[in-house]
Amino acid sequence: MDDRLSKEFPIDWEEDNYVSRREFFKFMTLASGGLALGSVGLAAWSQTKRGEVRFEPARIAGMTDVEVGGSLGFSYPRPKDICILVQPEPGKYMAFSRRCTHLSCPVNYEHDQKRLFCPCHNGAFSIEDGSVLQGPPPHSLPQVILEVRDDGIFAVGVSHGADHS
Amino acid sequence: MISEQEQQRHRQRAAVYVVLLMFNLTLIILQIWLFAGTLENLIAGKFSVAIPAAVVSVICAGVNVWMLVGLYRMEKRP
Repeated sequence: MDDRLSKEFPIDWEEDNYVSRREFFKFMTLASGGLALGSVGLAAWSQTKRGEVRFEPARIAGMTDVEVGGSLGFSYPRPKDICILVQPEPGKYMAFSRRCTHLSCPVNYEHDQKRLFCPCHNGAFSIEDGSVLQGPPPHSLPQVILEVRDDGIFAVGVSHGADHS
Repeated sequence: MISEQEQQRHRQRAAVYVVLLMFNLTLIILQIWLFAGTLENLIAGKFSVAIPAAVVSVICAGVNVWMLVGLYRMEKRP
């Protein structure tokens, strides 16, 4: 039975498993193309992360909900994206992601210092643009884009900081 | 029966194959390093390295394809 099978299917295992230099070169060139495609994909992804991203507008507070020097926590655009709304000067509203860019501790607003402070590792961010003032955070806080309308303050998008270049 | 001249040509082609294969492997190691470095930088929030790394990686892939085409042409020659 085995002899008959060998005659009908004369497959030499060693020959079948042999990889020639040409085949190996082809495979490695294919792998090289795959790596290049992956790198192009990463580059494209890095571009989409930059700049402003617009989301569905959401009302986050009324005009009288935040007093001058005060702050208010909210979530935007997803429920788990915690943010903080502040009013450093009368009529001037700013909002930032509340997650410290170091290890994601929630930041607090310090009106007298005009900064957002992370108590975990003494990181601090400017209230003007979310840029890093001190401490270990590697980059600025994402800023929530606001629109002040007649019926309240609306979040309309998120802008990544200037150091995301 | 293979002539002496033909054997000499085979040896030369084998040497060319090995050299190009080594260069091919070097370029792929460079591409893997670039890919890993880009990922590391993206996770750290640094987006500026992604495009130059992608350009270099595409050039490496192009050189590899060019070498493969060259090998096929070399094999077709009598």
